[in-house]
Amino acid sequence: MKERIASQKRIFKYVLLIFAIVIIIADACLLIMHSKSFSESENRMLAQAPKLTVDNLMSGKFMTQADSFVADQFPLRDDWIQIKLGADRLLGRQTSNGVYLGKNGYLIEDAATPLEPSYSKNIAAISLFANSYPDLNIVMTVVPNAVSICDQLMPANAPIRDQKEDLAYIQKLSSISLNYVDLTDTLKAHKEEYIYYKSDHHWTSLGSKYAFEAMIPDLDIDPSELISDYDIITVADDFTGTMASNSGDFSAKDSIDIYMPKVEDFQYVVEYVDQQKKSATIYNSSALEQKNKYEVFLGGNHPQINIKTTNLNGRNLLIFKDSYANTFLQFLLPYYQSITIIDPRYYSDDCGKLITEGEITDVLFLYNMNTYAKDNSLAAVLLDE
Amino acid sequence: MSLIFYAWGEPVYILLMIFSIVFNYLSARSIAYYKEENKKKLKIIAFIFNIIINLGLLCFFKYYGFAVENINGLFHTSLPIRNIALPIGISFYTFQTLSYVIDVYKGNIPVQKNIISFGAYISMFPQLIAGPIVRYVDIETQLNNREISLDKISEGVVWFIIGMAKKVLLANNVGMLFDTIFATSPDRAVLSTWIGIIAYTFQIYFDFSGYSDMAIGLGKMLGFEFVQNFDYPYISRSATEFWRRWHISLGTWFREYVYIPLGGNRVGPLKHIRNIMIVWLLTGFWHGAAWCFILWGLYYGILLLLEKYIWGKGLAKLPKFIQHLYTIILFIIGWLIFTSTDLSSLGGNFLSMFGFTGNAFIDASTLFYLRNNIILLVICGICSTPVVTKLFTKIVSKEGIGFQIIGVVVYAAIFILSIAYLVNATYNPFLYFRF
Repeated sequence: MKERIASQKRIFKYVLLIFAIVIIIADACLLIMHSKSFSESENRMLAQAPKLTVDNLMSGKFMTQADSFVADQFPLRDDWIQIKLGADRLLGRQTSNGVYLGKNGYLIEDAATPLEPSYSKNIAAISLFANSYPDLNIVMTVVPNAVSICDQLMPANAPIRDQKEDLAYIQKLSSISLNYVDLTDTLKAHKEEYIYYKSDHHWTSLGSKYAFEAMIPDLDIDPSELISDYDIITVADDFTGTMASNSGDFSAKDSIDIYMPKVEDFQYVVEYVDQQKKSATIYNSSALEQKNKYEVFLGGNHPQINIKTTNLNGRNLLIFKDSYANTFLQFLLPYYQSITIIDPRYYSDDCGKLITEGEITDVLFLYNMNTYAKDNSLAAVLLDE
Repeated sequence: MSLIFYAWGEPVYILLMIFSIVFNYLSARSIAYYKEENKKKLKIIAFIFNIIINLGLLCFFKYYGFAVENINGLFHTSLPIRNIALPIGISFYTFQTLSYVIDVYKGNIPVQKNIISFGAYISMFPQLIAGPIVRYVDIETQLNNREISLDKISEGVVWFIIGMAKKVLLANNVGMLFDTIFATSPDRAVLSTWIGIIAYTFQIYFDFSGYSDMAIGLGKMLGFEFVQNFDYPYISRSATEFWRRWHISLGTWFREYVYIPLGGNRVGPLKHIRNIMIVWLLTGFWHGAAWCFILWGLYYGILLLLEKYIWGKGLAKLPKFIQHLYTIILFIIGWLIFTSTDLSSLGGNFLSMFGFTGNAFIDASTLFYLRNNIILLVICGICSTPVVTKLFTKIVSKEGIGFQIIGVVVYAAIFILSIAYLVNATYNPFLYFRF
């Protein structure tokens, strides 16, 4: 019996040693290392060391901020996430941090539950907006996500929210006042193809090409003018997106293709209003050096982008959108004299003025279902609040 | 040190705690003084005054909203409802203080003359937030002279690691399963409801006992020995036994300061029934200001009485297997009552559990939940029994360096895994914060 206790005590002492070493190293790293402000792999801002003020301290803010600081800046954060993923896999789990570990290496974002009241508000605001501009050709589509299109890739029996019902609801309420396009069947027909990234929540250029082709009549584009020839270039083949970072599974690599319509003597200029920068292309090659390579399209999201083209046909398009539209834009370019792109999440100006001053003739609402479900900025921009 | 820790959550309430320390310190000293001077009446007045203030504070912070809501509902009045944030651990430290004051009043212990030692007792941070409820009697000598040794510190670290693993690896993971299932409407498949409530059964045990273990571990590092709070409650063979193994410190408190003063079981059956029901009503109510907690307390009161007077003896004669099954079903139903936010959701889930909603027994979602969680649930089940601890102790206490290396590696692996889950923690609820 004495032997027993003695040997346990020895074990306990070694455990103490390991415990102390881990704690000391982690603390030292937190203090010494320069804290990162942005997580490339998770594509989000990280919490910073809190400022010690009386106000912060008394309101309890300091401690909450200290908690998220430690969690976000913990040394080797990405490696820890991988350890967790390994353990989850051993337990037979098919999800990791809310991401479905699908078949063929696909990592699939769960379907989002609509966020009320902004969800209903947005739908009402779009109708109001459409009714006050009866002369414009207003088209809207909400793109279903991989979770509801690529059911063959999902773990069996996964209890997911039915996006089809959500989309039917949006369509029912919106199609009274504008031209709503449901892309579900179009995308479903191509579900075996590479229309969504494996490691990211976005759709690929191919996916948006199919969508564009389905929308041609609604967009009122003359079939005789249609360009069906593209220069297709693979700009990256080692892209790992947000789903990889969220889940910790970095095994799948994606390739990014860009589709440049082949048109003679066609040029355009892109103006990023927030950065006061102009460019002759919608592609941003510097994004290929970074982790989030999806930003090759337009360099990510901006409050307002103005594009002017050499096609002087008098059609001026206004887009309200999320990041799914960044890929889609490639296919729209040749058919308009100007395109104004508004991302309501970052835009706070008057949109009535945009329409009159820009002599807008066409409007497009393009969102993906998961972002649309959680958006709380669109209504305010449309109603000029 | 303890006070700084306390300020972590709601800094304003630090004032409340300081008040509590000073008030109870003075109050206990005056009780002791009147006792010495043989002024019985003054002693009783001082004592009652103390109880009123302590319980008054607890009631104000914990039950004000509940009381107002029910009064408004009953009398159609519209008293303003104020949302008062619950000071961390108020239920725990109020009960600790009361144990001290009552014991001083009864003369069981000498009064503490050193306000620092007394303050350390009240605000002792390891167990402040989630127990165990440490009675002053149990810790009196340690407050005045405790020893800190390397052996104790390392033992404390091991307790802490095990407690953290219970919380982070087991409780949080099954908690997620429970949340997912119970977020859906009760017309889900029968088996899904069962999986959900079983997940909650494991969550509450590992969450709470994990915190208790961490508190005990921290206590050991500081040289304190706290009483054990859980003794594998899920292997009990009756509801009565369950409560001897679950939240032991709370049970002890109610036995010492409510049940026995009321006469305990040394009275006639009618009075005994009354005593039991009072204790269990209070136990339920202590857990929170909601009807479901009260119902949960009364549920156990009735069960204990039934076991005592009706079927307890018969139960003991049945095969062990039946006794276990009986107890398991009882405490699972108990947790369903406990976790329900209101009576209608309780009703809905209860009907769903027994198939009265006309739902299928099993559906596709059930299969998914099972496929994803069966291993975890089995691990939780095994860890609810003493098997793992016994086996592990047996292995590592064998002679030979190899066995000791195994021991260290296992503890280190558990610790590393816990950190991995903590760093990832998008989900980290804290069940006993509410109490």
